[in-house]
Amino acid sequence: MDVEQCLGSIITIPFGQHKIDALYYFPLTHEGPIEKKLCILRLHGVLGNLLDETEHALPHHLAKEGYSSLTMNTLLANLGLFFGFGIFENAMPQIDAACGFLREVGFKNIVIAGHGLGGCMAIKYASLKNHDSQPSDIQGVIAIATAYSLPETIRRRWDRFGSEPTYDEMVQRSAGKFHPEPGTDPAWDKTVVIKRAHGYTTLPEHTEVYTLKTWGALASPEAEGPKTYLHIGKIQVPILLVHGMHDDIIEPREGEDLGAIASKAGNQDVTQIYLDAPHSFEGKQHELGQTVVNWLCDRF
Amino acid sequence: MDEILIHPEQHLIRFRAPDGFLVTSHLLTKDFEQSKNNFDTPIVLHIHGLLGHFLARGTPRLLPHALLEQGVWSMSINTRLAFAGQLTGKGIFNDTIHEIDAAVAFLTQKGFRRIYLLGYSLGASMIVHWAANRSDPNVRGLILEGLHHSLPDSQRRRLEKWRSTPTYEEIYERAKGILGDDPYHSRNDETFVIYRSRGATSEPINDEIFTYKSWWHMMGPEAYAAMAHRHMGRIKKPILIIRGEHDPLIEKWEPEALAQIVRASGNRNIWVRQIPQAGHDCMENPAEMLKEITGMVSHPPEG
Repeated sequence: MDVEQCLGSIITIPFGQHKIDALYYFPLTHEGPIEKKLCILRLHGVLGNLLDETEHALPHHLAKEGYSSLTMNTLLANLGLFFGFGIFENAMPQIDAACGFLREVGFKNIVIAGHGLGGCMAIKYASLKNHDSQPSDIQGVIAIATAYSLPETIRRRWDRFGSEPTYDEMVQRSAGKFHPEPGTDPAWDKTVVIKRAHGYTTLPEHTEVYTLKTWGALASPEAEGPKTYLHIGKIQVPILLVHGMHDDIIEPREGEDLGAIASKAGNQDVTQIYLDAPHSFEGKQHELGQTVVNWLCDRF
Repeated sequence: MDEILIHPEQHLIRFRAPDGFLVTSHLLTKDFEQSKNNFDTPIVLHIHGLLGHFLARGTPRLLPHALLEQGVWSMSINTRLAFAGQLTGKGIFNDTIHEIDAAVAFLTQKGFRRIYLLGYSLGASMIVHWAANRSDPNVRGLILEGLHHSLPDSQRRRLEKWRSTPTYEEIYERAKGILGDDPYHSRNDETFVIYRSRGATSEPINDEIFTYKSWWHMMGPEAYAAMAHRHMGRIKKPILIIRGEHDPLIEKWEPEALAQIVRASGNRNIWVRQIPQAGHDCMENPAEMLKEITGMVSHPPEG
């Protein structure tokens, strides 16, 4: 039997009446004062298995190179999108709490990273920190396979496959749920199955599930948090954008456009790298890890 | 809030089930050495249900750490039904037998000879299915918390109670039409929502989401693997059934009815315990829950 010992420890970070689950790795090779070290804060997407194949590869690679990392599940992980509480904007205070945990551990330098949806969250969070009056400990941003605008990406994909319901139908149905009108019941919500959202069949692998509220907060035209292009220009710390050339979800020009916005806004350190990989970077995890490590080594 | 911060005693381990599924697991021990002789060390193999997160909530989250404080080691595993397996169509109940096979093999490889399987809710049903079809001498007993007499019957009752949309019968008819004569090998499947399956309103928290294939094998009227009452009579290991006295999902008669089946088959090593001041999750009364489990593990009957 092939057995793999994974690196790190699963931890819980208190968050109000709730908690944040995360995988924390502090390499034993760490030497010297921790406050001078860097920790990569990675934001999980929807599912949230801290040990799954694609999500665990990067922390493993970082750890081998001596970088600490914290991979966290936000409200959107563990089916949050399906049960109505996975609201994009509400993940931001959770990321704050994770940064607070790292500060308590002793880290003063954090690079925030995400893949896909996690990349959108990373850019949004970094843009908020850049505008705070207090100095931020976010020293860099890594966004992998990140959409120019998640609502636009989803609209394009649904149009392409002929989703049922259509994007416009969902806009109508979710109207007012994301920001409830005065006098309406803010708790009212409904689960919706979107067929042919990912492909031409009605098979489960081509299907998506949301509630009207979580969809409104993530994919509707009024959802501003996941519109990455609105936020990336506010970030002044180094940015690494990595794209897969065979990504069937995010088009290569989306990364180019994001990079252009960041540079045009005055960011002097924007790096764009394209790898011969699909959206998941399956089979290319080593190259992805090395790309990230090289970028970190060159800067921190 | 119950705080669980960093536990240095944890080991995060991955291995493959015989059919290739990647099992992720969380081993909590004190002074675990791979080379050490673990023959006499009891270990609890904890089978997760749907959420599948080691830190999600309730028993899956709290029990392993509480057991460790009592000196009892444990390993939790995620099956293919965890992390939305029932939504993707890959979470077929019958196939979880492979994950339990792999986990028992892993522990046996590490030298453990006193393995106790513990399942919570859906996880308990998986263990019953496994134990009725396997006979591993290193597995010394089963601890079944919140075990349904029959998962399909429980769901049918629940859907009728809350007047779900669609109804149980409507789902069955639709599933037959989509999956055809051979549901397990069918190339057709679809995701669907059952509104009001867990409560009177259409709030998402009261909904359940399945694919027809995952529903067929876990909740359908022909989901024989998920009907504990059909399998209990074939289990020869010692069994402890635990139910919270206020469990809203498991009716009071269910544990005793299952115990009667076991006794009738000639297995006298069966105990039923009601945990006071607890609902479906018996870790709502951790002292009583731990007393029962450590009692079973520390002073096992001869199976």
